Amino acid sequence: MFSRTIRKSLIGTRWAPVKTSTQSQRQAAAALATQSTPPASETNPKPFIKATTRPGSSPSHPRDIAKAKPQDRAQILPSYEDLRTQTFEPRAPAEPTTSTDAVIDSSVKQLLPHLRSQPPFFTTIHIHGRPYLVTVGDVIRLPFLMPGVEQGDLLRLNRASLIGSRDYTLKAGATKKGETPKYLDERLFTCRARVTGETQEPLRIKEKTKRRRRHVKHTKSRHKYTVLTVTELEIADAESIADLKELPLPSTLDPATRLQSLQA
Amino acid sequence: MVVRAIHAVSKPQNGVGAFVVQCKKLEFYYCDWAGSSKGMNSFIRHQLPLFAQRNPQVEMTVTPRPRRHPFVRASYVNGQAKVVCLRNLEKLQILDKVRLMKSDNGEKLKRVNKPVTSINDGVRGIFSHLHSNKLSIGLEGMELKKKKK
Amino acid sequence: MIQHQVPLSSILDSYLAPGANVFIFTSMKRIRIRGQLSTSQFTPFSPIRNPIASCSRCKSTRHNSSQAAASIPSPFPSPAIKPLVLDAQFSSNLERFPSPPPFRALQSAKLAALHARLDLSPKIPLQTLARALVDATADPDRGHNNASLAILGGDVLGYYCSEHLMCHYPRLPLEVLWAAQRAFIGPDALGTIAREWGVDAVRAPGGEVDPGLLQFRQEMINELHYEPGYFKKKRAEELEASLPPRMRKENPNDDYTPGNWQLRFNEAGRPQRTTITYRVMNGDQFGMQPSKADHVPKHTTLQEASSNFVRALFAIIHLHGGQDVSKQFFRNHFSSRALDLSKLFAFDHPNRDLLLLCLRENFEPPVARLISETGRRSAHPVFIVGVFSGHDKLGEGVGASLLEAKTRAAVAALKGWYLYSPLDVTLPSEARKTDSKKTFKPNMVDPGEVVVY
Repeated sequence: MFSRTIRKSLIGTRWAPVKTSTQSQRQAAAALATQSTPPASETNPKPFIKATTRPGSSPSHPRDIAKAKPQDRAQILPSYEDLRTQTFEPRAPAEPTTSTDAVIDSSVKQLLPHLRSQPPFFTTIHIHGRPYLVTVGDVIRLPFLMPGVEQGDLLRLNRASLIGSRDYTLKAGATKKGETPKYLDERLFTCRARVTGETQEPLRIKEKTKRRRRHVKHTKSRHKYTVLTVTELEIADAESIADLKELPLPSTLDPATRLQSLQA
Repeated sequence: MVVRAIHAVSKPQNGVGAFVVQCKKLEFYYCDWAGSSKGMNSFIRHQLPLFAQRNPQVEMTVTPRPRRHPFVRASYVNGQAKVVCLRNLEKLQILDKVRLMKSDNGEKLKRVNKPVTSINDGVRGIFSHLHSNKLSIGLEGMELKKKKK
Repeated sequence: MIQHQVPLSSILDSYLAPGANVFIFTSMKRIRIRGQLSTSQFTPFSPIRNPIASCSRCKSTRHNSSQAAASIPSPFPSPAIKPLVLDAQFSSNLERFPSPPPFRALQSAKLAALHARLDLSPKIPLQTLARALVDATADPDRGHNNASLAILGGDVLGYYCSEHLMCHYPRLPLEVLWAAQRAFIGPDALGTIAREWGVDAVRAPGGEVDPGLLQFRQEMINELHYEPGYFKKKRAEELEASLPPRMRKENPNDDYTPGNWQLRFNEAGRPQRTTITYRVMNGDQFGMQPSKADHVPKHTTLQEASSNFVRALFAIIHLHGGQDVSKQFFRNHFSSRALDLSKLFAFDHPNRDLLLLCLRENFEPPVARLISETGRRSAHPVFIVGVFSGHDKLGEGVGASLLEAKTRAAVAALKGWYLYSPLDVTLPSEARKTDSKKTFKPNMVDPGEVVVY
């Protein structure tokens, strides 16, 4: 059941497919040197997480980064998949999916500045439907190897069900069993994580036995995992949420009562 | 003296500001003659130049080691080194191994049960029963009865 | 079985692209130079052994620099530029240099890897980075060591760090501010940072070692002609150095130990109190005894040399990239580190301090009240005490006795006051920027910590 869920979610959330080509290295490089033709954009693959491919290590030179858009950087350096096929074919950056609501509750608009004024924050981020409660600087060892990302990439995690500080908590809302899970409007917060590498587990040895066979088979496996570090967690300020449409307040609840109920 | 200070050193959070690749050196050993180095030699010819170009932050060396199996040794910033024997492996298998070693942080492999590791204190604090409303266990029903009267 | 017409190693030379830090050993022999083995196990492609081979390598690289290589922007000049001539001239007797000559910086894979690992700007040449790695104890020539750069870098780092701390935590007491400054950019923090950057050090410096290694001279016992009773003698020397000048046998003015002023003596040889004001006026950026400007020690420690390297590197970034770039580097590598400021405080009399603070700020005097308790008559009682000023709760503490809980509550209240952090801060160095939309708002300035006379 568990593995089926994982598989299902993997199928449901496609990653940016890597264009492979059989062009020789030299030809591709020559084509790159001119950079006359922009890469043909993919037919809208929808990944779960917005990934900005940046093979460099850190943005210590904002001007350099600003000059070279992520797309250009991907052109300059071949990806790991290119190494396998020995081509320099550039990848098109994935079109991100958004999780935005048409209207937000008016209490959100009123109380978000309160939340923002009380750092540090925590959030429950969902990756492939699994929740991870994190703060800035936390290391997440994902229970799988994330395809399509490389060490040093910066991901924007836009699925959060919960975000809060010591006294305030913003919740996405409860769901019933079988219902699609609810997430917070991604315009309300910014959460980024860096892919800091891949790791393995210690060798796992499983003893396979059958009845009355007097033979034990040892199967070995060693899984690989992606490791993320949460680099940024920020709440939107009053200006950036000013344009969002809000739901009218229910007459029974005034903001002060809501504040109390949220604080409790 | 009113306030004294306690000496401390700030802790690293690699990736939060800058990200420093933890693998600092990869050493490749091969043999010109032996059959177990076939894939390794092919890897050095065809994959390594591009791999090295893609990973300029890692120092790489290639050394002959006649009449021995090929292997790769990765040295990490934390002082650890990992060695993987590459005998009889194909070039793409080697590429996978090498890439994994480059993306590793050099720590000893551990079985991890909790996905999140944190050095921060809990944001919401710790629950304290002394702060919550007083509960008198087993007396709730009596309270209700009294109210009804 | 595979058969090569030519050995693989000779083919490898031909495809070296600039930007890739690969070095090939044509021979299995490990190179050992004058009995001094650097901490790196190998010396890559030593020009001492085979200068002609190295020439041919560079030539073939130039010849082979394909379009693939050309399209990749590389911060490193192609190894096929001038240094070849120099290489031939000097490579025969590199040992006579106290530190690696600059042209060798282009040949070091370690140095190029370090450049890339720190994501330095292509504007910063490898030779300059190599100079930052040479300590004054390795090469006394000021034109070749990092001493001057380290002074500049230390000052710029200190400015950024103090600005960051003072604007974000305007009420920090001075002692804690110094401790925080030290926790971010003190010698021990910088030593750790250099290690985390993957900078290795040599055992002994010299012109022939890899320029990508930290060059400094450390005190080694075998240099000192060990004889029986050495450690006893050394301990006696250390003991004497800690004595007040009038009790010493030798001239007291010669010795110098950097560090704090625990032992300060006046002219009469009496111990003298080091006040905060004295430290503000005469101390360095950590409130410590500053090092003498012209004092060049014979030996140094790994930590001291590493921190000088980090300071020098910061100066280089500042000089080549300007203020914005060095500030970004500070944010990425220094202020992004984790430090819990609330763990730097140690109060002697928190209740008294809190009372004085309330008097100064015209708050009502603090009153401690019991909020909750359990097990008063048991072996493990727990009391929760709050400190109130009028109707406001200033702090709360938990303790096994009423006094302990009250003290903890006062500490919590004081920390809450001192660790106040304004939400939107514009740093003074940001105000200089013309392109930024941020207008400079004056920062909060606190009257300072509570002082007891």
